[in-house]
Amino acid sequence: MSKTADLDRKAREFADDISDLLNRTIARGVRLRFNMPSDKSTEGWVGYQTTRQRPRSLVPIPITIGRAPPRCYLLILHRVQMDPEGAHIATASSRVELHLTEDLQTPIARYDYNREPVLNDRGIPYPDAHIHVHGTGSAIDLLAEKAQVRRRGDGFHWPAGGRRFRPTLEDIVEFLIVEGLVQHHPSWHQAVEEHRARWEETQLRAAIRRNREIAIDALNSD
Amino acid sequence: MTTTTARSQAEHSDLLSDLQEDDDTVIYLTDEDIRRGDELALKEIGMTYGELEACAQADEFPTHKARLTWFLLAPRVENC
Repeated sequence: MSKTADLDRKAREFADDISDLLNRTIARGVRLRFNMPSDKSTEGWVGYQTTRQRPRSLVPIPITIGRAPPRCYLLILHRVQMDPEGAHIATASSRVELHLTEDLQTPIARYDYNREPVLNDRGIPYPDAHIHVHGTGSAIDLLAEKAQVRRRGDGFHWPAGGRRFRPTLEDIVEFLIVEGLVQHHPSWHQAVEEHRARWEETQLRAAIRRNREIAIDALNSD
Repeated sequence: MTTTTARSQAEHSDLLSDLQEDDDTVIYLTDEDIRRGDELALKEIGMTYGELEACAQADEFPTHKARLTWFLLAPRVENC
Protein backbone atom coordinates (compact mmCIF):
# COMPACT_ATOMS: atom_id res chain seq x y z
CA MET A 1 0.00 0.00 0.00
CA SER A 2 1.32 3.50 -0.84
CA LYS A 3 2.31 6.00 1.84
CA THR A 4 -0.57 8.25 0.76
CA ALA A 5 -3.14 5.45 1.09
CA ASP A 6 -1.71 4.50 4.47
CA LEU A 7 -1.87 8.09 5.67
CA ASP A 8 -5.46 8.37 4.47
CA ARG A 9 -6.53 5.23 6.35
CA LYS A 10 -4.58 5.84 9.53
CA ALA A 11 -5.40 9.54 9.80
CA ARG A 12 -9.08 8.68 9.33
CA GLU A 13 -8.84 6.24 12.26
CA PHE A 14 -6.98 8.86 14.29
CA ALA A 15 -9.61 11.56 13.69
CA ASP A 16 -12.46 9.12 14.40
CA ASP A 17 -10.72 8.05 17.57
CA ILE A 18 -10.60 11.62 18.90
CA SER A 19 -14.27 12.16 18.00
CA ASP A 20 -15.23 8.95 19.78
CA LEU A 21 -13.38 9.92 22.96
CA LEU A 22 -15.02 13.35 23.09
CA ASN A 23 -18.52 12.12 22.28
CA ARG A 24 -18.33 9.50 25.04
CA THR A 25 -17.06 11.87 27.69
CA ILE A 26 -17.62 15.66 27.54
CA ALA A 27 -19.18 16.48 24.17
CA ARG A 28 -21.82 15.29 21.75
CA GLY A 29 -22.13 15.11 17.97
CA VAL A 30 -18.52 16.13 17.45
CA ARG A 31 -16.68 15.00 14.34
CA LEU A 32 -13.09 15.79 13.57
CA ARG A 33 -11.86 15.56 10.01
CA PHE A 34 -8.57 14.82 8.33
CA ASN A 35 -7.66 17.33 5.65
CA MET A 36 -5.53 15.67 3.06
CA PRO A 37 -3.79 17.50 0.23
CA SER A 38 -4.40 15.39 -2.86
CA ASP A 39 -0.95 16.03 -4.34
CA LYS A 40 0.37 12.68 -3.10
CA SER A 41 1.40 14.51 0.04
CA THR A 42 2.51 12.56 3.07
CA GLU A 43 1.22 15.15 5.53
CA GLY A 44 -2.19 16.55 6.41
CA TRP A 45 -4.01 18.01 9.38
CA VAL A 46 -6.85 17.03 11.67
CA GLY A 47 -9.29 19.70 12.81
CA TYR A 48 -12.86 20.46 13.75
CA GLN A 49 -15.47 21.84 11.34
CA THR A 50 -13.09 21.95 8.44
CA THR A 51 -14.60 21.69 4.98
CA ARG A 52 -13.23 21.75 1.45
CA GLN A 53 -14.27 25.41 1.35
CA ARG A 54 -12.71 26.24 4.72
CA PRO A 55 -9.87 23.79 5.28
CA ARG A 56 -8.02 26.16 7.65
CA SER A 57 -10.99 26.57 9.97
CA LEU A 58 -10.16 27.49 13.58
CA VAL A 59 -13.41 26.53 15.28
CA PRO A 60 -13.15 25.22 18.84
CA ILE A 61 -15.25 22.30 20.05
CA PRO A 62 -18.06 23.31 22.45
CA ILE A 63 -17.79 21.32 25.67
CA THR A 64 -21.34 20.39 26.55
CA ILE A 65 -23.25 17.13 26.61
CA GLY A 66 -26.75 18.56 26.57
CA ARG A 67 -28.59 21.65 25.51
CA ALA A 68 -26.89 23.82 28.11
CA PRO A 69 -24.51 26.44 26.73
CA PRO A 70 -20.91 25.22 26.74
CA ARG A 71 -18.83 26.28 29.73
CA CYS A 72 -15.62 26.09 27.74
CA TYR A 73 -14.16 25.06 24.39
CA LEU A 74 -11.40 22.80 23.18
CA LEU A 75 -9.38 23.64 20.11
CA ILE A 76 -7.74 20.58 18.59
CA LEU A 77 -5.28 20.70 15.69
CA HIS A 78 -2.91 17.92 14.69
CA ARG A 79 -0.47 17.97 11.80
CA VAL A 80 0.10 14.32 11.00
CA GLN A 81 2.44 12.46 8.69
CA MET A 82 3.81 8.98 8.15
CA ASP A 83 6.82 8.13 10.32
CA PRO A 84 10.30 7.95 8.70
CA GLU A 85 9.79 4.26 7.87
CA GLY A 86 6.44 5.01 6.23
CA ALA A 87 4.76 2.40 8.38
CA HIS A 88 3.00 4.34 11.12
CA ILE A 89 1.21 7.62 11.48
CA ALA A 90 2.93 10.23 13.65
CA THR A 91 1.97 13.66 14.92
CA ALA A 92 4.38 16.23 13.53
CA SER A 93 2.95 18.97 15.73
CA SER A 94 -0.23 19.57 17.63
CA ARG A 95 -2.17 22.21 19.52
CA VAL A 96 -4.75 21.22 22.11
CA GLU A 97 -6.10 24.28 23.85
CA LEU A 98 -8.68 24.99 26.50
CA HIS A 99 -10.55 28.24 25.94
CA LEU A 100 -13.22 30.02 27.93
CA THR A 101 -14.90 31.52 24.88
CA GLU A 102 -15.58 30.48 21.32
CA ASP A 103 -13.75 33.48 19.84
CA LEU A 104 -10.38 32.14 21.10
CA GLN A 105 -9.70 35.42 22.91
CA THR A 106 -9.51 33.87 26.38
CA PRO A 107 -7.17 30.87 26.40
CA ILE A 108 -6.84 29.01 29.70
CA ALA A 109 -4.12 26.50 28.90
CA ARG A 110 -2.41 25.37 25.72
CA TYR A 111 -0.79 21.97 25.22
CA ASP A 112 1.74 22.18 22.39
CA TYR A 113 3.81 19.49 20.78
CA ASN A 114 6.45 19.84 18.08
CA ARG A 115 8.22 16.70 16.92
CA GLU A 116 10.97 18.78 15.26
CA PRO A 117 12.82 21.04 17.68
CA VAL A 118 11.76 24.68 17.80
CA LEU A 119 14.60 26.96 18.80
CA ASN A 120 14.48 30.04 20.99
CA ASP A 121 16.33 33.25 20.10
CA ARG A 122 19.55 31.81 21.59
CA GLY A 123 19.34 28.68 19.44
CA ILE A 124 18.28 26.39 22.30
CA PRO A 125 15.29 24.12 21.65
CA TYR A 126 12.12 24.43 23.69
CA PRO A 127 10.79 21.16 25.20
CA ASP A 128 9.06 19.31 22.36
CA ALA A 129 5.98 18.84 24.56
CA HIS A 130 5.10 21.87 26.65
CA ILE A 131 2.21 23.73 28.25
CA HIS A 132 1.41 27.43 28.20
CA VAL A 133 -0.61 28.44 31.25
CA HIS A 134 -2.57 31.67 30.99
CA GLY A 135 -3.04 33.91 33.98
CA THR A 136 -1.90 37.19 35.41
CA GLY A 137 0.34 38.37 38.21
CA SER A 138 2.10 35.06 38.70
CA ALA A 139 5.39 34.60 40.54
CA ILE A 140 7.03 33.48 37.30
CA ASP A 141 6.66 37.04 36.02
CA LEU A 142 8.61 38.31 39.02
CA LEU A 143 11.31 35.75 38.32
CA ALA A 144 11.42 36.77 34.67
CA GLU A 145 11.79 40.39 35.71
CA LYS A 146 14.70 39.54 38.02
CA ALA A 147 16.34 37.52 35.25
CA GLN A 148 15.66 40.27 32.70
CA VAL A 149 13.77 37.84 30.51
CA ARG A 150 11.29 39.50 28.17
CA ARG A 151 8.82 36.59 28.14
CA ARG A 152 5.93 36.69 30.60
CA GLY A 153 3.19 34.41 32.00
CA ASP A 154 1.60 32.40 29.21
CA GLY A 155 4.70 32.73 27.03
CA PHE A 156 6.68 30.19 29.04
CA HIS A 157 7.03 26.63 27.76
CA TRP A 158 6.42 24.43 30.81
CA PRO A 159 7.86 20.99 30.03
CA ALA A 160 5.29 18.27 29.77
CA GLY A 161 6.74 14.79 29.60
CA GLY A 162 8.49 14.76 26.25
CA ARG A 163 7.53 12.92 23.09
CA ARG A 164 6.54 9.59 24.59
CA PHE A 165 5.05 10.71 27.87
CA ARG A 166 3.35 13.96 27.02
CA PRO A 167 -0.15 14.68 28.34
CA THR A 168 -2.87 13.23 26.18
CA LEU A 169 -6.33 14.39 25.28
CA GLU A 170 -7.53 11.68 27.68
CA ASP A 171 -5.64 13.42 30.50
CA ILE A 172 -7.20 16.78 29.68
CA VAL A 173 -10.71 15.29 29.50
CA GLU A 174 -10.13 13.55 32.81
CA PHE A 175 -8.84 16.76 34.40
CA LEU A 176 -11.93 18.72 33.35
CA ILE A 177 -14.24 16.03 34.74
CA VAL A 178 -12.37 15.26 37.96
CA GLU A 179 -12.11 18.96 38.82
CA GLY A 180 -15.85 19.33 38.25
CA LEU A 181 -15.40 21.94 35.55
CA VAL A 182 -17.63 20.32 32.92
CA GLN A 183 -20.59 17.99 32.67
CA HIS A 184 -19.88 14.47 31.47
CA HIS A 185 -21.49 11.31 30.16
CA PRO A 186 -22.10 8.60 32.80
CA SER A 187 -19.62 6.10 31.35
CA TRP A 188 -16.84 8.64 30.74
CA HIS A 189 -14.29 6.75 32.81
CA GLN A 190 -14.55 3.60 30.73
CA ALA A 191 -14.11 5.64 27.53
CA VAL A 192 -11.05 7.42 28.93
CA GLU A 193 -9.46 4.15 30.05
CA GLU A 194 -10.11 2.44 26.69
CA HIS A 195 -8.58 5.29 24.73
CA ARG A 196 -5.72 5.70 27.17
CA ALA A 197 -4.87 1.98 26.88
CA ARG A 198 -4.74 2.30 23.07
CA TRP A 199 -2.50 5.40 23.29
CA GLU A 200 -0.16 3.73 25.76
CA GLU A 201 0.12 0.63 23.59
CA THR A 202 0.89 2.76 20.53
CA GLN A 203 3.56 4.70 22.42
CA LEU A 204 5.03 1.56 23.93
CA ARG A 205 5.27 -0.09 20.51
CA ALA A 206 6.94 3.01 19.09
CA ALA A 207 9.36 3.17 22.02
CA ILE A 208 10.30 -0.49 21.53
CA ARG A 209 10.75 -0.02 17.77
CA ARG A 210 13.11 2.91 18.42
CA ASN A 211 14.98 1.17 21.30
CA ARG A 212 15.19 -2.51 20.38
CA GLU A 213 18.43 -3.13 22.27
CA ILE A 214 17.02 -1.68 25.50
CA ALA A 215 13.80 -3.66 25.08
CA ILE A 216 15.73 -6.92 24.58
CA ASP A 217 17.99 -6.13 27.50
CA ALA A 218 15.00 -5.40 29.76
CA LEU A 219 13.32 -8.68 28.77
CA ASN A 220 16.50 -10.67 29.37
CA SER A 221 17.14 -9.09 32.75
CA ASP A 222 13.75 -10.07 34.21
CA MET B 1 -23.60 32.88 -20.47
CA THR B 2 -20.99 30.20 -20.83
CA THR B 3 -19.03 31.73 -17.94
CA THR B 4 -22.14 31.86 -15.76
CA THR B 5 -22.93 28.25 -16.61
CA ALA B 6 -19.36 27.19 -15.89
CA ARG B 7 -19.42 29.02 -12.56
CA SER B 8 -22.78 27.54 -11.72
CA GLN B 9 -21.41 24.07 -12.49
CA ALA B 10 -18.38 24.77 -10.32
CA GLU B 11 -20.61 25.92 -7.45
CA HIS B 12 -22.77 22.85 -7.93
CA SER B 13 -19.66 20.70 -7.85
CA ASP B 14 -18.51 22.43 -4.63
CA LEU B 15 -21.93 21.90 -3.06
CA LEU B 16 -21.95 18.26 -4.09
CA SER B 17 -18.48 17.86 -2.70
CA ASP B 18 -19.52 19.44 0.61
CA LEU B 19 -22.49 17.07 0.83
CA GLN B 20 -20.29 14.08 0.09
CA GLU B 21 -17.75 15.09 2.68
CA ASP B 22 -20.50 15.22 5.31
CA ASP B 23 -20.33 11.43 5.17
CA ASP B 24 -16.61 11.13 5.33
CA THR B 25 -13.91 11.86 7.86
CA VAL B 26 -11.36 12.61 5.16
CA ILE B 27 -11.46 15.76 3.02
CA TYR B 28 -9.31 15.60 -0.11
CA LEU B 29 -7.97 19.01 -0.99
CA THR B 30 -6.68 20.26 -4.32
CA ASP B 31 -3.97 22.93 -4.50
CA GLU B 32 -6.72 25.39 -5.35
CA ASP B 33 -8.75 24.41 -2.25
CA ILE B 34 -5.69 25.00 -0.09
CA ARG B 35 -4.86 28.31 -1.78
CA ARG B 36 -8.44 29.55 -1.28
CA GLY B 37 -8.45 28.25 2.31
CA ASP B 38 -5.20 30.07 3.08
CA GLU B 39 -6.56 33.28 1.57
CA LEU B 40 -9.70 33.03 3.66
CA ALA B 41 -7.76 32.32 6.84
CA LEU B 42 -5.55 35.37 6.28
CA LYS B 43 -8.58 37.52 5.45
CA GLU B 44 -10.21 36.49 8.73
CA ILE B 45 -7.28 37.78 10.77
CA GLY B 46 -6.74 40.78 8.48
CA MET B 47 -3.09 40.00 7.75
CA THR B 48 -0.91 39.02 4.82
CA TYR B 49 1.31 35.96 4.86
CA GLY B 50 4.37 38.24 5.02
CA GLU B 51 3.01 40.07 8.06
CA LEU B 52 2.23 36.80 9.75
CA GLU B 53 5.70 35.50 8.97
CA ALA B 54 7.23 38.67 10.47
CA CYS B 55 5.17 38.12 13.64
CA ALA B 56 6.45 34.55 13.84
CA GLN B 57 10.05 35.70 13.48
CA ALA B 58 9.55 38.22 16.31
CA ASP B 59 7.46 35.71 18.28
CA GLU B 60 4.82 38.39 18.77
CA PHE B 61 1.38 37.92 17.33
CA PRO B 62 -1.38 40.55 17.58
CA THR B 63 -3.97 37.90 18.49
CA HIS B 64 -4.01 34.29 19.50
CA LYS B 65 -5.95 33.48 16.35
CA ALA B 66 -3.08 34.92 14.32
CA ARG B 67 -0.68 32.59 16.16
CA LEU B 68 -2.89 29.60 15.38
CA THR B 69 -3.22 30.65 11.76
CA TRP B 70 0.56 30.66 11.53
CA PHE B 71 0.60 27.16 12.99
CA LEU B 72 -1.70 26.02 10.18
CA LEU B 73 -0.12 27.93 7.32
CA ALA B 74 3.58 27.77 8.07
CA PRO B 75 5.55 25.19 6.12
CA ARG B 76 6.77 23.99 9.49
CA VAL B 77 6.29 25.42 12.93
CA GLU B 78 8.86 28.19 13.33
CA ASN B 79 7.51 29.49 16.60
CA CYS B 80 5.27 28.28 19.33
